[in-house]
Amino acid sequence: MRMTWLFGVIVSLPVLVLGAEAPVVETRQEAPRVEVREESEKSLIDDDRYVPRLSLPTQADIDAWREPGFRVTLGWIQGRQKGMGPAPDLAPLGAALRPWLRVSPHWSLGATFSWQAATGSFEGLKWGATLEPTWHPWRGLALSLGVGYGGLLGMRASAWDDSPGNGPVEPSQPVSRTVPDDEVLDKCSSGGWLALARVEYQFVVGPLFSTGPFGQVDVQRTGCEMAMADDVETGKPIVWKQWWTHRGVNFGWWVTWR
Amino acid sequence: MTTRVVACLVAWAALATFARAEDSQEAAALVAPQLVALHPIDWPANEPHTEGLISVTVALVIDVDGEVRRSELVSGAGAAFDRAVLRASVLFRFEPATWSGEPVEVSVPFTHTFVPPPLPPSDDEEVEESDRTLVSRLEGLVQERGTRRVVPRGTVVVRVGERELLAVTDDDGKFSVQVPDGELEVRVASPLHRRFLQKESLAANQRLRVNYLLDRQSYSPYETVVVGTRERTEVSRTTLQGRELTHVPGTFGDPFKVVQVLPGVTQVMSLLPMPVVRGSSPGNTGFFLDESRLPLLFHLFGGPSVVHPEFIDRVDFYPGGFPLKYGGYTGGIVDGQTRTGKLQDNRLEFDLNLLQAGVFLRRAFPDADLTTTVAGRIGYPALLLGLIIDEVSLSYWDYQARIEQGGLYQGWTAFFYGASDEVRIAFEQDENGKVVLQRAALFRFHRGDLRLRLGNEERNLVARAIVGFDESGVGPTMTTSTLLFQPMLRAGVKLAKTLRWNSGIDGQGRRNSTEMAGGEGELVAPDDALSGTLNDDGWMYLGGVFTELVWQPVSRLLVVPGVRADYYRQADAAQLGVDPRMHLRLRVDEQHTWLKASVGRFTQPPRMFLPLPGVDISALDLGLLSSLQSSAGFETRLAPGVELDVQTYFNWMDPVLFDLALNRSPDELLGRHDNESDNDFARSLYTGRKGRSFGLEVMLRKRDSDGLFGWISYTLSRSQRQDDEGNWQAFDFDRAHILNLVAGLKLPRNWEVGGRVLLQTGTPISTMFGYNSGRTDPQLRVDLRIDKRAVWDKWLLDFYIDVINVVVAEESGGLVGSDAFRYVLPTIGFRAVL
Repeated sequence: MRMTWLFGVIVSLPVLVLGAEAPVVETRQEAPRVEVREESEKSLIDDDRYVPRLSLPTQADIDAWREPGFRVTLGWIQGRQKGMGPAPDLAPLGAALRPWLRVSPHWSLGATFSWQAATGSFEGLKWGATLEPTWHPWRGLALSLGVGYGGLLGMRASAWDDSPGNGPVEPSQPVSRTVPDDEVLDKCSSGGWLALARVEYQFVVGPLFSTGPFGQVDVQRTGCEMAMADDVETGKPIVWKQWWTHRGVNFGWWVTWR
Repeated sequence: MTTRVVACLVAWAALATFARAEDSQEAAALVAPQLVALHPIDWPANEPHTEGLISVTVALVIDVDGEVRRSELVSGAGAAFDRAVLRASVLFRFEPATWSGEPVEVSVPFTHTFVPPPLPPSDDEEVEESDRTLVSRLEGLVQERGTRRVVPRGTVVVRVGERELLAVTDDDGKFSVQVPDGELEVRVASPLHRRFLQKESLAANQRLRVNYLLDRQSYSPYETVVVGTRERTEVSRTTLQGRELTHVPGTFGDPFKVVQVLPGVTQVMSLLPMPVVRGSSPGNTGFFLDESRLPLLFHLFGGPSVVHPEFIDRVDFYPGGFPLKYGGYTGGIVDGQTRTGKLQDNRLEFDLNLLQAGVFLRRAFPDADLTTTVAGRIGYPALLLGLIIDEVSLSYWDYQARIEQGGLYQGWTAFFYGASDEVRIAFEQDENGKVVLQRAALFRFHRGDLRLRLGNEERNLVARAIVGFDESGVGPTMTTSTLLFQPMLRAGVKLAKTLRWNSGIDGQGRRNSTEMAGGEGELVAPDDALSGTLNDDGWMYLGGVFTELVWQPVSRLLVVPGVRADYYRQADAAQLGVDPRMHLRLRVDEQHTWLKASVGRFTQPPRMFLPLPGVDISALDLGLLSSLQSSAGFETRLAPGVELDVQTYFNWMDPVLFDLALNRSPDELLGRHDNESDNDFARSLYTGRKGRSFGLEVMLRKRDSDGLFGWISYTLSRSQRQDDEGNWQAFDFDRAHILNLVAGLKLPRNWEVGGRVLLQTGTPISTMFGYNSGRTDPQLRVDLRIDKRAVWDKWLLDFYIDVINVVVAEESGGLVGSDAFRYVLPTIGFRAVL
């Protein structure tokens, strides 16, 4: 719970700090009109002081967000991952970072990095890195497809007390092998391919920030490895390997900075 | 001697702007070229009138005589406009840029903005009628938003209907223009700033004074960057500055950590930035601050360095063959040069990230020719750590304060700095079952550094006196403290046009004392048969003297012979090291290509694997470590801002101590570990061995001249030690291939993105066939960094995300041997600049 709170603060901080001071610009489609000066300013006209002026907006916010350029998105992501076969179910919660380029009014290209703490029957870290083309069909709506690399690091919650490995090598101990699905691999530390599809809607809150929810489905196939004691011939650990497949549904909220 | 320095002043404003040299980040000893004569650039004849402004950017190469030797197109706007700028800009005249008082060649981006000529009125009557309508006055001050710097030479275009009225801001950023009453559209153009648009409304016979605040195109904190090498008398030096110091991904903006991505360097492990330089032990590489050894470099070993990054102007890295002014090391040297305050530089900064908060304040007093700077940071890693575990507490702080008067060759500086790290662990619980944290480790130091500079460029003298107090504690009871006094003297005399003499004297007296609550406090080597003690109480004396000649008989040849002698005395042990060295540089073409070679002897006292305050030199009675270093290679400039440096090296080490003993032995691997193994380990640490390392280093580097910086560094190396039987075995941290790719790119709207990829072979591990006869898997690591600068009317806010190992790649080798592990280390930080 404390982690969730902290993460929320971290993600919100840029908006809280910057949004409060960000120049307030009216969202409008038409060309800027002449500003009506305040009465107090008139008294300065013949004064020696200078009246400070910022540049008027030259375009509407929604148009600014459609312009090509670099963006960074930060967000939290939470979901459920169904383990297929020997893979345990996961309940990950964590953060995502997405640097991306708006290349045209309707298309963008980005990379999403996510790191989630997995809880439940498997405790550890789930991470992913995907390359994503995104289609922006209407206002803040966006559809993304991504492929990349993801992984798991941790162990089954039930295996804390009786995990094998890390002792002197027994002569009978097998060499590195791929573990069949009918055996249970307690630990997992490795990666594999990851694919996802995402739909999101971002509300434009000014020329600098937009924010909104997203939903995502993904599938990840991880080549889990569990290190045993070291092989005396190579000095490297003996590794047992098993393929785990997870299908998941995730949702979250993120903030984009332009 | 022609000194060749290639510098680039990125993001150049109008010519008069950089002549002011206001940028606080500018290199301490670099003086920008100053405009003497500006050739007018007119709107090309026959080019039609346009609605908007047109900009052309060129790169001017200004030679040591102040003449524009070359003008190269960077971004054009059409043949006629490009031609006009290229032709006119080669006629500009400058006072040449200088480095440490010597004229140097620089490369300067220059942007000219063409303002469309006003449309001519149809006849004289119309002109007269128009002038009669100019009954009001618009006066203005044009400043840069965020920094409030004035914008000189800005073009102000006032549009009234079809008519355009022009004005240009003066050196103070002010303008004045007669305008008609009514509604006006005002645009301001400046090469460095975004287009400005404003609407004004004036009544008849009124005067309006406005303060226009322009957004800068790029608010990079490092606008002035030395992109070339300054005067070089050594073979193997890499100088990092500007964004190369603070924007390299995976370093969290720490200047000293950037060294880890340079050629010839690997680390004992990723999160422990102790460098293994050209196959030498980490304890054989010295970390300095202004040529004075830092007793503690990184907070908590793997955290930020103990000096506020804003204090560091540049970092000089010598993987070998370092200058004679550095003594007492046989590996490499890393020297952080602090930034000299400027009399125009007043600044206040706050920074905050997940691990620490800091402040930096600089205040200049021009009337007294004084600059004062204070900075400090407090680390609170325990805040995050406490969310996971409440049995460990980590904390640190550091401070720096400096006051200085005068310039490079005349003046004085008083510099005080210090740092503290503390680790507390729950050893026990109180009667209520609550954990009680007790000190597990304490590392603390304080330094006072007084410097007096006398002379001029021809003859100069620097006298320094450093006093310090170091303290290291292990466990709740034992504390070792050291009081030290360190005088230093440096002198340089230009004997002739082609000959310069440099010399110096170093001294140090230090008194060690160990206190153990409840008992005697001496750390004794694990085996009684070993004669060395880790840290004798009592006095230790160090003395060093060096002299060198810098001889340049012709402009293309540089010969630097010299010798250094160091004396160490502790209790009954006394050692003397005499180190002759020679550097050669030969230029083989007219401009940029140098062949280079060096050879020399380097000695040092036995040092701890980890440098700790007060616990440094040990076991002096075992003798001095020594290495014979040789290096040869070439450096060349492939294009403006693009350099290639290739070096080969061979180091012969005899003896080395504290080497080749950290990895697990074959017996341990086979489960045959016993007490005798512990004794073997200790004995092995104290056994003098022979060592050798050799390799090839390649660095292709793009300087930060146009928003893109980076380098590709590759090291092919082998480092070996001789075992008890005389066989050559791989050194514990030997890596055959080390490849680093680093890049940082500025993007519009003050974004910067950077990436780093490290790919290197694994380190040796033992197998049943022998010590270090195997090797761990290769390591891949990818780091990512994103920076954003937000601008407010009077201040700037930097925001950054830096993620180490974004893809959670597995790491093994080094200190952890075959125990592979995965991690990802992200951080988010803010910095406010007022």
